[in-house]
Amino acid sequence: MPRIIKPVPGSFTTADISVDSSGRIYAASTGTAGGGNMVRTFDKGEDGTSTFTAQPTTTKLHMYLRGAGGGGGGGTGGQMGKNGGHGGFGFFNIPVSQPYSVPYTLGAGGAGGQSNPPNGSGSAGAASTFNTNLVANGGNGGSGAPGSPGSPGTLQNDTVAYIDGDTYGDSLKQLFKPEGMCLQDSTSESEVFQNTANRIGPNTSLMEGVQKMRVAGTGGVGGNAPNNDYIPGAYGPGTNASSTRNGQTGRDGSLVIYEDIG
Amino acid sequence: MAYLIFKNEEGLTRSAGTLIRVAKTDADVQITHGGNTNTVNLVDITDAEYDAYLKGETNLNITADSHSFENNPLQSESEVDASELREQDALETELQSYKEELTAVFNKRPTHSQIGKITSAIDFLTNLDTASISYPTESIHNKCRRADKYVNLHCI
Repeated sequence: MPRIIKPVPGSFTTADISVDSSGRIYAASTGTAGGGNMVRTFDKGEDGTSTFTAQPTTTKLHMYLRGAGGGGGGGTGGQMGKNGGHGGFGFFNIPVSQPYSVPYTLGAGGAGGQSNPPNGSGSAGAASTFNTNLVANGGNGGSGAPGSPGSPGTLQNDTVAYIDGDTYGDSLKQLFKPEGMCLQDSTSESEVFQNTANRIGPNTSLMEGVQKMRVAGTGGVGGNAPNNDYIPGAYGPGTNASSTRNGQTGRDGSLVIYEDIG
Repeated sequence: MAYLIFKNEEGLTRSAGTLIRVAKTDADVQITHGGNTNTVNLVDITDAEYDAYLKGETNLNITADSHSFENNPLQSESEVDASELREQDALETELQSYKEELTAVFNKRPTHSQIGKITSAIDFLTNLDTASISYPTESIHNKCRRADKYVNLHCI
C-alpha cells in the first residue's frame, strides 16, 4: 500500500522536485529557468583587432571562428599556380561569467604569389584568435606552378573541428557551414560573384539564395598563366594569352557568435 | 630591424608557404598578429633587405628553415621576353587588379609604416595613361618598378 510521505500541493514553475525510491514525489518547489535559445548576435569577416562584449544576460557563447586563407601561387608557362589553403575553421563552446568583454583578432588573407618571379608562392593567412587562447590558424600559401595547394590551417582549444589541418580536398567540403558565413559587406554584384564563385575552387558553387553571404577564410585562387609563346589576340581582339598571372589574395578570417538570450 | 613573420604551429617548418608577411617595424608586426605573439614566429632581417624586397629589387627564397635574398634586376623593356608582354586590355586588367589590392590594404591598414608608398603607388596607377602606351608592352609591375612606385604586397 503506497504511502504519501508529505503532500506538496501548489503550482510550480520550472519545478525542482524530489522523488523517492518508489517513484513518488515528496518535495517540489519553483526552480530556476534554464538557458535561453541561441541567437546570432555578431558576425564579422574582415581582418583587424577589436573587443567583443557579451549581452548582459548571456551565460554561454557558441562561436564559429575561421583563420585567414593563404594566397594563391603565381602561374607560369601555361600552368596555373596552386590555390592557397583555407583557414582553420571550428566551433567553440564558451561559458560566460558577467561582465564579459574580451579581445579578438581576425587574420588577414595571405597575399597572392607575384608575377615576378612568375611562379612565386602565395603567403600564408594570419591566425584568428578569440580571448587569446582560442585560435584558428591561417592556411598556407599555394605554391607557384606546378606545385601543390597550401595546407589548411589548424585549430587550438576547439570544441568541434571542421577544418583542422585536413587535406586541401577534404577542407573544400567544409567551407559552406552556414554558421561560418558572414554578411557580405559589398553591394556590388560583381564582387559577390567573385567572392562566391571564383574564389572557392573547382566544381563548387553556391545557391543564389546565399550569395549575399560571404565565405571567409578561403584560400586565394592560383594565378592564371600564359603559354610560353606570345600569341597576339589569342583570347579576343587586342588581348594576349592571359591577363592575370599573380595568385589572388586569400580571404580574411571571420567570427560568428550566438548568445543564449532568446 | 625588420622581420619575416611566419606561422607558428607545432611541427611546422619555415617555408615560402608559411610566411605570412614581411614587416618593417614592430608596429607592423602587431598589425599582423593583433597582440597574440604566440601565433607567429619572427626572423630578423635588415632594414635594407626589407626595403629592397618591398621595391621588387630582390626575390626571397625560403627552404628548410633558412632564407636568402637574391637580386631581381629589372630588364629594359626591349629585353622583356615575348611571353611577358601585354596588350592594352590585359595591361588595363592587370592595372585595375593591382590598384584594387593596394586600395584594399590602404583602407584596412591606415597606420602601416609604408602607407606613404602605397598612396604613391595608387596615385601612379591612377594617373597612368594606358591609351598613350605602345603595345605590346611590359607588365604593370615592371612599369611601377621603373617609376620606383612598386609595392610588394607581401610586405604590407
